[in-house]
Amino acid sequence: MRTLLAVSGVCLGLLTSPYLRADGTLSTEELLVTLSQSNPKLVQTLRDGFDLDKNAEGAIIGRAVNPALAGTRIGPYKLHGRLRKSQSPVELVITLNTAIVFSDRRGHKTASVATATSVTETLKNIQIETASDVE
Amino acid sequence: MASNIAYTIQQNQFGDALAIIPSESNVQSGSILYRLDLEMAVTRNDAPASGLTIGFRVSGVQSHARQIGPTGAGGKATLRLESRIVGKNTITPLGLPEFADCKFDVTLGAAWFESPFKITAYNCCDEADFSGPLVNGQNVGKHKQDFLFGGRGICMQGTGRGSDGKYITITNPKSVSWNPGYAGVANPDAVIFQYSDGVHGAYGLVTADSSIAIDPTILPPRHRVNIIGPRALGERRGDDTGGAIKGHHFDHYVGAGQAAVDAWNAAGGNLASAKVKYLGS
Repeated sequence: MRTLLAVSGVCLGLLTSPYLRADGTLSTEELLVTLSQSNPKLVQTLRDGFDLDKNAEGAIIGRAVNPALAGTRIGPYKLHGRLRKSQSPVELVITLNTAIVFSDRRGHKTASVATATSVTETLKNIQIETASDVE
Repeated sequence: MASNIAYTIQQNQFGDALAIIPSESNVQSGSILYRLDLEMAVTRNDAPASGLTIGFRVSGVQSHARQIGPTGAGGKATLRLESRIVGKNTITPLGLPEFADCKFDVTLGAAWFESPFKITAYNCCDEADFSGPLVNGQNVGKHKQDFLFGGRGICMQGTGRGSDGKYITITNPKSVSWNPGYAGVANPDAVIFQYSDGVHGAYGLVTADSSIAIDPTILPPRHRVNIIGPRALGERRGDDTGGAIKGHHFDHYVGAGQAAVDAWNAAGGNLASAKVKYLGS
């Protein structure tokens, strides 16, 4: 059984670990900078509360699906960290769940990833588990 | 009384005599731009010639060399060669007959990218990492549902490796409609798959720990580099690209599945500022 250490954010509903397979890596710092635009308080909570590893992982859009967006990372993102003020820090897996919107060339939301020309994400919530329970 | 120009290739910021690929330069007609600074020592009547500016021409239409400022008191000045010609470039002085024979041959090949690179990693999905029920995929039989139709499966990644070791790719991505949240495909019956001989990059098959996705305005497709450090990755080739790979960024293909990315992270993970040597085609 997984141990849910803490959940912070606008949504507390996700209690099952979402897609935790890695598809592409990215810089944690770059990711947080991007996501802070949509949810600065939650990103700041992450920065203040955790020592985060420098690498994060996310899903990836493949070239065979959409060459123009190929290589783009999208959520959910996974990163490793430790509670900053803990006296016995436990290795944690932190999942950043995002709301993803693909848009076409006219800026309209589309259900087709293949014909999208842009993608935007909003950080919705985070899920925290002990690494030993996830891996 | 003799007149002469002696040329010496100056050491670059990487500590050797290779050319530099300037940060602001782009690939043109499939070629990178080389920049090489030489020290020229000019003597006239056996004495250093100061205050002299000489014009030069270089063999090849995509090449030029220019003297940076007049020669100083010792007769010395910097001569900057910029060329897209691989191999021999002959620099010839212009306008002053006494220096007409003072030619210099420079051979261009390997070079340093002046700008460091960001290096990330990507994989293709592996059915072994998925856990959904078995469902039928058109042309490929039964596979795990989330491997075929999930937000991190073939319909998003393009290609995946099945449990039988065969690669499967989607043939009609524009027919795919996604459920809200893009976690799964809404119309799986419309998706057509086919077997593939591997993961096809934009310029050919990609190979684990050999292929990188590149920005073709920075590195010509299929050209090779050596990623030197801070963690040496060795020789890699630009077999792939993608709209999200911009500028001095390589996306390193690590193979199939979570294990490949785990191995990348265990070895140190992404590189924020890698030193890269261009090796050529």
